[in-house]
Amino acid sequence: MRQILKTALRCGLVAAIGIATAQPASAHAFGARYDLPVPLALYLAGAGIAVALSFVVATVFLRGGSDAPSRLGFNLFNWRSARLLGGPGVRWLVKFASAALFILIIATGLFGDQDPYKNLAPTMVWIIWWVGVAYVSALFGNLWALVNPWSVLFAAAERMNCALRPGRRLGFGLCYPPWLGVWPACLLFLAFAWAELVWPARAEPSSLAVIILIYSAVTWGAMLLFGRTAWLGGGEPFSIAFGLISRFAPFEARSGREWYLRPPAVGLIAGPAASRSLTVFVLLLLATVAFDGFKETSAWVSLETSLRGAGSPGILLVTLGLLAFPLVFLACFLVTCRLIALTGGGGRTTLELAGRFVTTLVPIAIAYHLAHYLSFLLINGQLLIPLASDPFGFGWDLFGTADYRADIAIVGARFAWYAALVAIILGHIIAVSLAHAVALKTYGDSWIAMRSQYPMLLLMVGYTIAGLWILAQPLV
Amino acid sequence: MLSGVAKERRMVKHWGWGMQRRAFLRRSLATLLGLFIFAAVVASAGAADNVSFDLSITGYKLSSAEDVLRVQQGDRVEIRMQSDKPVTVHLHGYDIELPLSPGVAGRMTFEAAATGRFPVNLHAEHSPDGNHHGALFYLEVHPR
Repeated sequence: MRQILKTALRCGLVAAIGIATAQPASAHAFGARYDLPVPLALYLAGAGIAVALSFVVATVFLRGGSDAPSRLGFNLFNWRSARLLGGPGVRWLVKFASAALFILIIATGLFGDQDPYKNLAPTMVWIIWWVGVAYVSALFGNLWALVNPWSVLFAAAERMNCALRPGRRLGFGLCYPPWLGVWPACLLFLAFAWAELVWPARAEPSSLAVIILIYSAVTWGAMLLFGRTAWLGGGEPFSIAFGLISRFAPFEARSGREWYLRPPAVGLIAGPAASRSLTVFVLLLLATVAFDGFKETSAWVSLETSLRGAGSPGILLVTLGLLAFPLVFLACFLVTCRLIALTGGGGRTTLELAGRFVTTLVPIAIAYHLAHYLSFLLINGQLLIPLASDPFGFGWDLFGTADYRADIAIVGARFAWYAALVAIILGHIIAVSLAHAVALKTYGDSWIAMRSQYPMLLLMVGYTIAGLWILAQPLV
Repeated sequence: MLSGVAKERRMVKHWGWGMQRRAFLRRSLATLLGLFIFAAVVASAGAADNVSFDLSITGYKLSSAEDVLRVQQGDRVEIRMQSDKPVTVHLHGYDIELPLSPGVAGRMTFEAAATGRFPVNLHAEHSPDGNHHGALFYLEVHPR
């Protein structure tokens, strides 16, 4: 018990530092980034430490395997204060607030001032929601499952339907075809990534509101066809993405009645292997996060200028880049799995191994995301303060904070560098540990599992160093 | 109460090597973390300087090839600029604007209190393109 609490405290300390120090990164959806590139010495030190610690993990692992981590857990609901915090009253309040905020964002987008910095919609969507909810999911668990406004509003409609037409179900109740897997979510997520990274109008409040309305129509239409939970599990890209990210957190809600504190990241390797569509989805998520960072380096800019002929528009080129990255990730990952199959001594197919190992890469992406967006979140998130007083940009001052100016010195560069480095190294170690655990579960024997992991180690070291490289590039 | 050795043995028996492995990992991670915090907190001392730069803008572009100005946090920075076209120079982050008339030199003076890499754009009166990827130059404020 004391051991678990000690681990929890250490995890918390690390998490707090990870959050407080990441280098700002431009999300490029909206908002400015003023990150100073990580100095070369730190970049090389980080890469070296990541590699060295990978071998330490491997050596320690060889002494004997255990799947005790997945069984470790402490039910927080044993404490009365946790039960009150997670009780039905608080949950109802949070859901109501989420639905109200959702409607407010659409309203401000459509009717408010169209200057992106004076309107609530771009800040809420691209900074607080996309970056903020990813942060909370990675550190505290699946918040999105609770606050998803599309789910909340549809569930409210279902209850009204029950009250008004007892016995009649809302929607057509078609069976969600199992062969469809999460392919709809993959397509929708790719479309979202395009909107986030390429779409020129993404910071315009009215365009944002319109695209939200279109997405709501699609989501609710699909929920009417297949049922709310079926669509959330198969087609709603954000539920799947945030659900995946939240498996990294040290918190886990089980069966709705319990809230467990457990070692971080074990949720990523618990449960069955990923299906083919889920494997593709995970790689899509990783690739778009990487492309987001790569797009701001001078390497990309010079690639763009060398490829851009007189006639090709910039959007097409960036779209091609966005499509190329997932393909590159898929190719590298499948090659690695093939090599694992070979070095592991046969008995497993490449695709089967791909499904088992794909989620072990997620900690590296999460660490990079946290390192990349922390300063961005802290600096641009301050925009929320004046916007809370004047969401429409009409000159209101509801809370007296309409004149607040963001403090750009909120996080110093040196602290940010070290935090980013710690986050990335930790993410790497966690990923390597997870991969070893999966290898042991797959192959049974420690030595064979160890041997099979050399290709995976190579892939993870390469992936981590790529993340460090992006952080060390000056922003353009 | 069990002695330390007996506790260790019980740990091994119950959880296997997994528990000890994790304990070792936790300890090494905590040490690493401690080292990093120590390094981050120890900062080099130094007095703040007055730094000045002279830039000239020709045809909406910087005349010199070197487009990054580097200063240290806390320095008092003075950037003197001249342009041959009517432009407004905007330093992002610090949010300082400097309108320039052709041939008339202008000055931007401020204290570099915040670290970061801040782009400087033109909001030109007659320039054809927008302000996207094309920053005029960058100001990098490095920590001491």
